Amino acid sequence: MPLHADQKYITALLHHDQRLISEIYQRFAPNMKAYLLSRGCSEDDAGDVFQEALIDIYKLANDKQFVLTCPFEAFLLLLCKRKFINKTKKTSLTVVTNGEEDAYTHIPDDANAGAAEHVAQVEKEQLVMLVLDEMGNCKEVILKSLLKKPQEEIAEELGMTYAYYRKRKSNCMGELAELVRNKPQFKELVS
Amino acid sequence: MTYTYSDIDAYLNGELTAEEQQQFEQELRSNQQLQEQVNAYRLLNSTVGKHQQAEQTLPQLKQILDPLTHQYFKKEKAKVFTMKRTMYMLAAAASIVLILLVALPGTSPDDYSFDDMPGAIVRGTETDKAKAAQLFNNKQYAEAAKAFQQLKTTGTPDAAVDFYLGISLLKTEQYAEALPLFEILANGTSVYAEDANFFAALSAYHLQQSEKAKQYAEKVKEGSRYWKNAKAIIKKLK
Repeated sequence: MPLHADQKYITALLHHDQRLISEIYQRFAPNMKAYLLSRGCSEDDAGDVFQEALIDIYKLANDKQFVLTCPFEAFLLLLCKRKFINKTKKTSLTVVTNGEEDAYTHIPDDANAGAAEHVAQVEKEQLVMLVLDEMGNCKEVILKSLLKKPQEEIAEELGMTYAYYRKRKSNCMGELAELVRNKPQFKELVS
Repeated sequence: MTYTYSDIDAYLNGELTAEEQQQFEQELRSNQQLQEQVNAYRLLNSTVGKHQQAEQTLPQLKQILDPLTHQYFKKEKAKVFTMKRTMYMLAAAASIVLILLVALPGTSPDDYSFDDMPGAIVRGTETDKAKAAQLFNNKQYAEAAKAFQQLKTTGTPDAAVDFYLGISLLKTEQYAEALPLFEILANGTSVYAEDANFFAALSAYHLQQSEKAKQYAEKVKEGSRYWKNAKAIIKKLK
């Protein structure tokens, strides 16, 4: 799929470009707010959902490899919808189902497939980070191993011999891979 | 042959001997499970590395996002009082208003507030913009104006720099320099456009350009934080 013209907003987030980030809010926040409020979301929660969605996109695109293949608004809308639904599952919030979607009739139908693909990627990566977060010592080993410094130095910092550190690191990565693969949500995301 | 995650790690890091690498790749071509394991290992490496890197620069991004989210979404929470307390408060407020009406003049055009410039704190590196923002937020307006002007000569156009430079110039009574900046912002599409109407009006008011001051003051919408100040300008011009 070709790169969409809205890639400029991805670049703006990566470069902390205040002017274009302001434009993101100016163009997309009012509709998103109206949509979320119509679904029973509070103003405060709507702000959190919108900002968290932008941060998710920032993390997804951080290696500068991400290519946006749909309108930014379609991606943002779907991400906000998913985040809001997840929020309602964790709290006592209920989703109002008769809200208006009129504000988004300008988004073409074919944009939704691209947006769904991007959102699935965000959720897959979040799942990896969530699993990693629960891995105790392995988390430390994996995170340190990815720092841009000599591996021998990292082994020393962790109080391990270099040989043991290498073995431990690859075992931890293997464990992470298996844990992620066995998560039902992961199977849903890749199916 | 069975390969472990240690072997996969060594393969991806280019640490196998030529012969070992050849054997590994031969197995990789026919073994679907090994292919999945290598792909997963590679993907996890890049995902975790990417997220870890993003976390390091996230505070800088939040400095930009927080005020915008607040501006577009958040509403100050209303306080709930009992009826009795509300009545006392209303009575007290009415008395204060009466005293102020008798003893003091109305809102002054110069009695305005503004937000701190975002982006003043940058972890690790201190950019020129962050330094200028720090000077502004510390109320060192003359120094901030110089720093913003320097940024304008070297950097790309930035509405935030123009807006805070304008306020720095107003604070140091350089109204003639401030006015064109606010006029451009007021006629532009940045988030500062609405507020710039008031500051353009204020600059023109101090330069005794009454028509222009009135024209910009009238553009300030009811509900704007500067609406009262704009009204005060119009009142003073009558």
